[in-house]
Amino acid sequence: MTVSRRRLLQSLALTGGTAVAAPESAVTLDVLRNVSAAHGTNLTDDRLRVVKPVLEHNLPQLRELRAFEIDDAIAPTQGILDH
Amino acid sequence: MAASELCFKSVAELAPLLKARKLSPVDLTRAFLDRIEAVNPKVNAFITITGEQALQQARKVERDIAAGRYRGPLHGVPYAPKDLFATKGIRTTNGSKATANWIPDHESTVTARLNHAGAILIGKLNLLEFAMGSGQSGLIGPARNPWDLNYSPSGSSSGSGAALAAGMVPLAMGSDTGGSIRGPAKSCGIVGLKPTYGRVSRFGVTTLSWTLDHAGPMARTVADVACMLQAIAGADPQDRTAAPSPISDYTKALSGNVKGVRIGVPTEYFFEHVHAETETALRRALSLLKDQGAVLVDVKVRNAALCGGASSIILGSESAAYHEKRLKEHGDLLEPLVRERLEVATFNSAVDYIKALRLRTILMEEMQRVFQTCDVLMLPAGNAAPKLDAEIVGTDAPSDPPSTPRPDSFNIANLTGIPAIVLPCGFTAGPPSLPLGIQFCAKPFDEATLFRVGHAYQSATDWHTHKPRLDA
Repeated sequence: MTVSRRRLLQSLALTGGTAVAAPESAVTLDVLRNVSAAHGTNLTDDRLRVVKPVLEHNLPQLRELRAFEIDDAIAPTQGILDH
Repeated sequence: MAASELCFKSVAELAPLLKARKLSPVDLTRAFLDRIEAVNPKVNAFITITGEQALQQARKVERDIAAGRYRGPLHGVPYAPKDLFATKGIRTTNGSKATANWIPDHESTVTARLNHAGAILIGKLNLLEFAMGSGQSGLIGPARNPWDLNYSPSGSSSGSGAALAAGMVPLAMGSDTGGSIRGPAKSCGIVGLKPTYGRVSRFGVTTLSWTLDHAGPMARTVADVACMLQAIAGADPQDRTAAPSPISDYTKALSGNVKGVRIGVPTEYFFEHVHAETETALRRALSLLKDQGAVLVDVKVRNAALCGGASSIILGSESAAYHEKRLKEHGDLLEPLVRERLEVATFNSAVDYIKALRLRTILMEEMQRVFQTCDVLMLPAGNAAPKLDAEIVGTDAPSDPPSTPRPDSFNIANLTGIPAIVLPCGFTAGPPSLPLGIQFCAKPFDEATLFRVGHAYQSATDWHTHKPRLDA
């Protein structure tokens, strides 16, 4: 399947893959298909139809997270706690 | 003592009898096996029952105790782990058709330590599939809440909570990534501890999220949970996240004295959507602790509302990474909700994931600040258990109010790694009359203060002694 670079960037932006401002359009099957291809998961359209409403439901919470500004000095903490 | 009475005794009551040889570990094990046989068809708490092996082990324990080789309070006491803990040579299903016949060639560190302490493995407990399912399908269907079989015990350590409440086992192990020990503790009227991140080894426990997973003890009393933690805590060369921090003598915390202990009470956010009945029970519990000498302190936890989103991204991303191969090759064997959650998570971006981990840093620092002003923080543990057919993890049926109104009240402890305990604090008026729970959190590695507060509360109340009527 061929995906134009412009289309791919738009799709990734919608799901947060880049810093490009995402268009306010709904999450479409086409967008999800592109992202799934880019990620290598290649979910079928049947599976994308299952996933789509859940992603849409999660978007507001995700946008809130993305909007939260974090000071540059804050590094991620993963796994082992600083004992 | 009648067998049915034995099944509701605590370890604190059983241990002296076993040590003094007034109670045979074989008779005790048989009593629990009989109880399981009578009640499990209703409650569906056990996936595997290791009856013959348990009796064999009990006979060996009996010989050891008779020969003077008594190992401590867990010696001769039956226990069961959530079927997420690898038990060598005994099938470990993760509650999933995908691993229904997996026989591990290794033992989890937790079960190895419990076995070394002389506890007797009696079976493997039901759970939500891979600790993330709905309980509606999975391998053997959902566990049921012994207080009302039409209600959920909550999950994902559903079988652990149900088995304890029903008197099928005195000790259980669960895992907690977003409340999976504490939710069942609340819904089943028992005690569940999510220890500090790294306090208990996770070697041999199937992963849901490396950053958020915790293995923890569950029992009917705080004292019994403390006893279990004593046996299982500590560093482990097989799990590099297991902390070398010193282990307290948790029995010293069971003094019943809370004079001067500062209990933080959140002034905003966490009580939103808590039912009036639940809030009354929580406030009544706090009032009792205050009468015992504790000091109540108003606290505010900044950015608490971000916990849910951050946890969701971390859990989703890490579980999708863990199950990547299984999802590609055997997705059809997974319960629909598990498959859906994993596939949704494949759309998470690395930037979102790293941001969530940076929020983790912020919230950990926030909790450090909170614990400068209090010794423990009280948080709601959710409303009473939901109906069984409404329990879909992450989404509640529109007709039922959320059972965990603020998932952040559980998630915050997973995200920041602080220890948290839930214990029973009352019942709803009903019908049906269902347990209510209260949650306390403490700073990292301060499980002792949680035990101190919890034990003091249980010494002054009897919620933990109530038994469901199962007509067995």
